[in-house]
Parts: sequence; structure tokens; C-alpha cells
Amino acid sequence: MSALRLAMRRDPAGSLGALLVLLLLGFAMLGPLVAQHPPDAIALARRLQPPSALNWLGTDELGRDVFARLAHGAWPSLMAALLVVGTTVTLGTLLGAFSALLGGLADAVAMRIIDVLLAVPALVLAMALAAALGPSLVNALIALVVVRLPVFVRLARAQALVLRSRPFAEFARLAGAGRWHVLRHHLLPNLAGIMVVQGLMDVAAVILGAAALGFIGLGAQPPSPEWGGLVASGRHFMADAWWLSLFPGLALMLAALGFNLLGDLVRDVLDPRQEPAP
Amino acid sequence: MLRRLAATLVVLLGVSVVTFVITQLVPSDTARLVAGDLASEARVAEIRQELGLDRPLPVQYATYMQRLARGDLGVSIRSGRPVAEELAEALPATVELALLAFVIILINGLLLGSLAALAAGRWPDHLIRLLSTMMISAPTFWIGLVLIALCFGQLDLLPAGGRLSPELVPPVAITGLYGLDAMLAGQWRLAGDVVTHLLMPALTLALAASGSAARLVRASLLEVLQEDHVRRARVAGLSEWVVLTRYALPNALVPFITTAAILLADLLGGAVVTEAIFSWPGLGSYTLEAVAGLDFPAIMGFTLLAALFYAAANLVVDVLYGVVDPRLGPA
Repeated sequence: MSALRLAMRRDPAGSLGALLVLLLLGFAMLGPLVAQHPPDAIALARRLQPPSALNWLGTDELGRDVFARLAHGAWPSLMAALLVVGTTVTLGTLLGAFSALLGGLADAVAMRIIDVLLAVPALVLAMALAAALGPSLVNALIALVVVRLPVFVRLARAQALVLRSRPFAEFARLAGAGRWHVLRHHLLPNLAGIMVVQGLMDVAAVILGAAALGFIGLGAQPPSPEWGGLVASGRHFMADAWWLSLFPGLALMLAALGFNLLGDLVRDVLDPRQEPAP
Repeated sequence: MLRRLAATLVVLLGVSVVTFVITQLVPSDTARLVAGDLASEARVAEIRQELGLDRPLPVQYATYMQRLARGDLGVSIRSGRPVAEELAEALPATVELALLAFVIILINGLLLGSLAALAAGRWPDHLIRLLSTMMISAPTFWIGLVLIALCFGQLDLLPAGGRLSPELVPPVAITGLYGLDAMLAGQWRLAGDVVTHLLMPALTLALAASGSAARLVRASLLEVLQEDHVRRARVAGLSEWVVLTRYALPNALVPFITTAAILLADLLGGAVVTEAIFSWPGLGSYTLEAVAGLDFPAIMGFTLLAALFYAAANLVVDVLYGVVDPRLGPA
């Protein structure tokens, strides 16, 4: 804990990140309770109203309360990103460790597949995949998992190769432990830490990726209050109703900023040998 | 070098398999899409046979590859024109946009990165770190909208979209880049108009990568500043400016080159969103329309093109590495 406190003093930006993430979680949990209106209550008489005491962040083209929609969209937006990262970390660790352990042809083939997936810009590949699967939130998340997975598989494989030749793993093998025993008791527990940190560093990118797909129309479909979709549906009213797109976009940026800064902080705390984050 | 080239070809072949598999995932019936809703079953079957969609998958892949080898990316479902032709028409607009964005990224990265490294641990460093992380964290599409609302809506400084003011005629095409063509033809007013149209989309496209670039430059510069030859230069009494530009930066840029090439290729992804917002008639807008119309030959054509750019960028990096740092030897 003292390491954490030291890091916070040395790294004020990282503390800001932790604070932002806490605020985001608080907003996701308490926001819907505080909101004065339901997120989908249509009130055409009060459409496109600027922020006021009655509608804190204004109303949209159907008179729905922007604050309420933002608050109700926080949890799905956040959970979607965490779900993607959780899946990529788990799958990536397992696939990478298996690949390192099996070696030979299976390993070579897996690595070539990874090369191919990394040969296309992430957003382009995610877009092509999501379009092929059909526009829906689940398909967008699947596409994001496929796109983010290669980096995790590579990292897990490289780490597993290093761990496998460390004395404790060598010893276990000499003592007669089977492959799966080594994997379960020696590789996976030691991989977990670094993979989770890498996952934390990826949360912001996934939040932005999901929002970009949502903005293109390949993510959550309206009337879902997912943040990327909120920015998209507000863009046509930008000229006279700036509050529609401004606030969800700002929320997205603060969320991504929080996770980016927090990721740097955690990495510095866990691995002080590395150059502190810029 | 030959080995690298061969490896690149293998990867590109893999990408073609991926795009082929993705088109097979599509739940919609291509023959039905081409025929239109009103066509009879017999007509749909006929089209299916014409397009070879009734043959086994490996055969379809073989034909697909034969066509690819000839540069034939298939025919757009929406317009009925060759995808390769349409992509070629959209390419110059995107290249123009990406090039300016790349220049902005380099300037931002070098400036912010050097400043942060020189002030390491002090408040300018913390401030720049916050700024560059904010750049990375801001959704591209949102930044575009905010810029339009600000520079076009409120201040009326810059035009909101397109490559040219509607009353102007594009310059005679030499390179396809309007700005360059206008300057080559000596049409300065036209060139000025092109630049005002380019500024906002280029800034939007460059923002996230600028943040990454600044962080990278800072990290590698910090390492180089510790090296003996830089310390010797300092001790010898050379000014900070000379130490930075002559001794530290050239070395710090070696690792930066790889990432810069990847950043440039990655701009293609960002271009999809940016071009959509600024009605920029390039590859991104083209692809987004293709996505909306489920035009898979067009989407896959763009995906393959992006992979080709990526591969080319990586090859260029390998060559540049040898030039910048002879110790690494030929790739």
C-alpha cells in the first residue's frame, strides 16, 4: 500500500486517473437513481431544450432527458468494455500459454494467424467483421475481441516461454509433472498478473473502439443510450443543440482518460524497473 | 530483404483468406442483393450461377485469388462498377488528408515529446503527459463534431466539409492531391481554399496519434539523454538546443520510425470516422457507405488495401532502419 501512496505522490496524473475511474463507477451506479426523468420518456413539447434546472443536460430531439440517458448508458458502455477486456485477457492467456506449451506445428500456425490479424488496422478489421456479422452490440463486441486478442496471445506466449524455462517450472517437469500440471500450477498463476495489467491498459482503447463502432452504426442500436450512439444521434443537431453530442463525448473522453492514466499508474507500481509513464 | 518480402506476401495471402472467410460469414444472400427484391427465383439462381456462388468454397476461393492477382477486387454491389476503380478514385483525397495529418503528428510528437523529456518530472512534463493522454482518450468522431461546432458554427472560420468550396473547380489532376495540383498550376487562391478545407479533418485525424507520438518521443529521448555521448556534449559546453537537435534527437528517432509508419497506416482506420464527419470524399466515406449498403466486395477491397498499406509501411521501416542505423545491417 505504501508503494501505491508513493506512486501517487510521484505521479499526480495517475491519481487523477484513479479518481476519474471511481467517479465513473459512481456515476454508473448512482446516476440512474439521481436522474429526475426516465431515460426513454418522450416529451415532444420539450424537445431540444438547452440545459436547465429541469433538464440538467438538456433534452434531445424527442424531448428525452440527456442526463438520464447518459446515466443509464454509463453501465452498458462500461460493462461492454470490461466484458471485451475480460474475454480477451482470459482467452489470450489460455491460447498463448497453450501455444507456447504445445510448440511445433500448432504453435507456428497460431502465430501466423496472429500475424495476419495484426496485418490489418484494428478499426478496419473490426468494422469489416461487425458488418459481416450484422449490426448489433453483441456482434460489435465479438469483433472487438477478435481484433484485440492477438496482442494478448503474443504477450502470454512470450511470457509463458520465459516462465517455462525458469527453475521452478523446470524442476516440476523433472519431478515428473505433466504438461497440464505445469500449465495450471506454474504458468497460469504467474501469467495472471501481467495479463491483467495489460488488460487494464486496454480498457480505454476498447471503450473508444466500441464507441466508434456505435457511432458508425455497427454497435448498440437505437434507442439504446450507449454513449457512442448518443454522440452519433446528436450530430445532426450539433449546430443548434450542442449539448446532445458534447456531453456523451465528454463522458467517453473522461472515461478513457481515467483508464489510460490508471493503467500507467498500476504498471509503474507493479513494475518499477520500467521507465515511468510519460 | 527477400525473406522479409516473402513473409509479407504470406501475410497478405492470409489476409485474403480472412476477407474471403468474412464474406462467407455474411448472412445475407449476395445473389439476392444483386438481383434486387423484385427479381424472380429463377433470375436469382441465374445470377448465382453467373457469380459462381453455387460452386464449392475452395473453387470460389481459387477464382477469388485469380482475380485478386490481376488486381480485380470484384464489382460493387451498389454501383455495379469495379471496386478497384472506385477505390482508386477515392484514394487521392485520403492520401492528401493522411499526409497532412502525418505532418501534424510528427510536429506535435517531436515538440511535445522533447519538451516533456527536457522537463522530466517537473510540471511541464506532467502537463504534457495529461495533454497527450487526453489526445489519445478523445473519441475521434466527437473531436470532429466539436471542431465543426466551434470553428464553423460559432466562429465561422473554417468550412465544415468537402474538399473545395462548391463554386470552385478542382485543379487539373496531376497527382490527384488538390493542394499540390493547385500549387503546380500556380492557382494560389485555389490552393488556399483546399488548405482551409483540409485543416479541420487533418487535425481531427491527427489528434490521437499525436498523443501517442509525444509519449514515444519522450520515452526514447529520456533514454538517449542518459547516454555518454550526450553527457559528453553537455560537459563540453554545447547549448541545450545543439545537444538536443544534433546529439539526442537523431538517436531517439530510430525507435520512433517504426511506430510512426504504423501510425501512418493506422490513419486509414481513423479516416473512416473522420471522413464521414467532414463529408470528405475519400476511402473512409466510401467504406462507410459500403458498410451501410452491405456492399461486401467494396468493404473487403478496402480491408485488403489497408493490409497492403500496413505491409508496405513495415517494409519501408525495415529499409529505413538500415539507413538510419547502419549497425543493424541490411534487413
